[in-house]
Amino acid sequence: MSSTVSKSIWSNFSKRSQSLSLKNKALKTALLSPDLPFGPASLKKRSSKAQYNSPIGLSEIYPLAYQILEQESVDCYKRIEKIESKISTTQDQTLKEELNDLKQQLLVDAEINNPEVIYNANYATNSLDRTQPVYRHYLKEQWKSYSRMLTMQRLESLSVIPDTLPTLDPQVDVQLKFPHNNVERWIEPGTLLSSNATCKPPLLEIVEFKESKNDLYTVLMVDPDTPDLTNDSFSTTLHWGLKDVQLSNEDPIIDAKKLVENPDYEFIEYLPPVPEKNTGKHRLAIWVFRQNEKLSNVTETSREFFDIRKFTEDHNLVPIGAHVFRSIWDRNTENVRETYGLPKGRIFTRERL
Amino acid sequence: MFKNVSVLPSTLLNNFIKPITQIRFATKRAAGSKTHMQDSRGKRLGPKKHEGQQVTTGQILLRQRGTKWYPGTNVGIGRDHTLFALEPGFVRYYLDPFHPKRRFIGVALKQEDRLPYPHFEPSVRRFGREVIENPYRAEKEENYMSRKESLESPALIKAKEDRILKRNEKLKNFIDSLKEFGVVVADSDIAGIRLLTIDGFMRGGKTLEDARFYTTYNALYDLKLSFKRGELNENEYNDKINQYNEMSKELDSKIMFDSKFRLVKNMTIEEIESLQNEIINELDSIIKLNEPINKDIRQKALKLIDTPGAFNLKKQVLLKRKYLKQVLPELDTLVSDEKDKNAKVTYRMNYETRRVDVVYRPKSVFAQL
Amino acid sequence: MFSRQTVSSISSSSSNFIKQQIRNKRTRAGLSPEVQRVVSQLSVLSAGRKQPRLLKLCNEDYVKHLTVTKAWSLLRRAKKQEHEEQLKKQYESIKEANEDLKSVNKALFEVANKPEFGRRFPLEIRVPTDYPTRQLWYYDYVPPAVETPEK
Repeated sequence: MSSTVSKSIWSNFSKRSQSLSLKNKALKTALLSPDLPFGPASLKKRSSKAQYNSPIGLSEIYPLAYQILEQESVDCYKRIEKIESKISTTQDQTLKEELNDLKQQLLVDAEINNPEVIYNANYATNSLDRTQPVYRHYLKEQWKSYSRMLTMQRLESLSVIPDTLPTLDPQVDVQLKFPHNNVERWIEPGTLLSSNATCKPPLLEIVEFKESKNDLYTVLMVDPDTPDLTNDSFSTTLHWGLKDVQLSNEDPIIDAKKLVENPDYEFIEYLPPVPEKNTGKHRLAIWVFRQNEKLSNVTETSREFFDIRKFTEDHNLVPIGAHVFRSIWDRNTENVRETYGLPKGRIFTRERL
Repeated sequence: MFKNVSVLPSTLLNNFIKPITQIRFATKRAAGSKTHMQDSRGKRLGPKKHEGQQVTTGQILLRQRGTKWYPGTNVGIGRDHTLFALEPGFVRYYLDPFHPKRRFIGVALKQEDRLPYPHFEPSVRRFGREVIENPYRAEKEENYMSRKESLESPALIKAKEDRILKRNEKLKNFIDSLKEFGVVVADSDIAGIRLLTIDGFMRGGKTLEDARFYTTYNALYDLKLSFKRGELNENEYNDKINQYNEMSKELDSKIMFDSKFRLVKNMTIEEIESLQNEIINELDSIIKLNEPINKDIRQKALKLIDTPGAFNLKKQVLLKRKYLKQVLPELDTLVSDEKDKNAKVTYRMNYETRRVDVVYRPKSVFAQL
Repeated sequence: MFSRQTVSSISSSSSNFIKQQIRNKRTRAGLSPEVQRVVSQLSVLSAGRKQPRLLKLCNEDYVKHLTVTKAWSLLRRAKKQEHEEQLKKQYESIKEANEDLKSVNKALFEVANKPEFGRRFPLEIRVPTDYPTRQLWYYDYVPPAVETPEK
């Protein structure tokens, strides 16, 4: 094996996390050598391996480039050490927060050019260590490039904004699925789901891109399309309410296991969407809020005629993420109503008057 | 064509010798004065309903050429840019700060409303439907199917029946196999259904642990719902929960599904590991790496790798790659020469020398299936 | 079809004349036939042939390539910053010298800063042009005489 190109910090794991290195040994050797000593490990077919040639001159220039970037990283870590000592001595809370933000930024900068990290961020996106700021940075870039735009587009074109809350500045990626079904898949925002698929509570994944240790979250699921016959208009129904849900970077999932273990999370039990016939497609908006403190007096919240704007104002909640799916009356809706002990759904006229 | 060959040249020749005369066909200047015949009757364009006037759905608000006015809230636009009301209400002519170069015509739902409605407020909507009180008509409406649904429903119902039949058959098999594994439960139907649900979850991609958890969760959730409906009193509810938990404990301690969804005896992680080690030792004893093996040993090894409950699919593939290679590597002992009449010849491009290599290999290095 | 002159021979016995339909001569818009032929021949080639071939890199080499590009951009940035700093320093020192001059002697300062039309470059420097001169080398050039101190 040819000698490693890494001479200092990037091959030293005494202070750095092991997740910043590549697990696959062959790939790691390839990235830490000037050339590819055992051929291209990422190519699977024998014929493509045999045909492959590295670009001319890459093996000469790569060690130099690596050293330059590694030196930058060393400088970054030195600055981080200085900031850490400053944080430990200072008493001022705002200054402390500022310094901490700077430290997080430097932690990203120190590893952002590490070839092993880049490899992981590009090709092993499913198993990234979310406690590492640099991986969170890459995940955020990925989220911004597609999912965030998609979610916002669906929220706006389906008028979830402003029918439920006035606007949203998304900070977290909210993902949703219904794991009580045999088919398990993440639901794209705006999908029309059958009443059978949604008959039990969903699983939520709330991916934070900032450092998060035991933050508290509120989740509300509302339907702004419930018919309101007295005003000949629509009202909002609260279908599900969770409060004080504790999540962190390592554990961002709200699933049935967590709900069984912590029964006090649910302040409004899950009511599946059961639209009545001829009331059109109902939008079910899921709003996620980060809390500053524990919520109080939420037990008296009523499901019907729920005012989500007033609720957020009363409890000082700022939305950080949202998701939406849709539901319509189908042949199974009456069965779902029956299992939940609801009265038979009303039938409305097909034509609008 | 060929018949005429002899005739053609002479006629052509004759024609070409004769003098050419140019002929111009008659043309007529058919244009009149520029402004002649350009008048038509008025097209009766313009507003048909004015500010504040009450309208019903579908009434025309404005006829125009092009979009001099744009359709605003609750207003639609036709093929010829005619604006019409989509909701009953009161006509409003207005400007919208989001589109500073456009003028809009909208329909406000209430007389006192002004347009545009506030941008960040919930949109003002009219429901516009009534409950059908007459039970006969209500039932008729409930059973009404769209053309698409009515066309598709027979096939869907048939598929569902087939599914239920298959499911029942599977359930029967599971219930029968309970005895084989020595499971003692009060209600074998519930145990069978539990196995069926776990099987479904695992086929959907859940791990055994998750599948078991969600099966229990769903069952207890259903019990909770029936308690809430008042079908069970509190004692019965608690009893049922206990019964289910006992049953699931007993079942899970006896039976599990392996990676190919076969029912096998439940094993702890340590037991599985020791079984795996046993199998690997046996494989090592019957197969020496990179040495040809015969058909029987291959069959035996395959069976060992596929031992129920031992390895997951990924591990099985890895073991097959390690022990049961399709073609053994080209070690010196495993390559023959051109003198060997039984050798198999392969031609292969060598990208370094840019020549085609000829490789002679004994038949035994290829897997005998 | 009709742009060409069509020759129609009418049954030979009735008339001895060849009648030619003549319409206004159409001029072909656009390219001449030679150029058009080259264009159509080129258009037959697939788009992929006309552009340089994409480098196909395996994942490891792609990451290495990213690393090299990043390091190169960092180097260039450092170099540029250094250059800019030097320029800034130069500017500052010119400014300082001028300020000094201003405080010492205002007349000299004004002479030094007098805008001279058309004298932006030293006279010896050729004014930069888009194309080289017709006369590439000025053979008759005589260097300015250096004044030697008389003994």
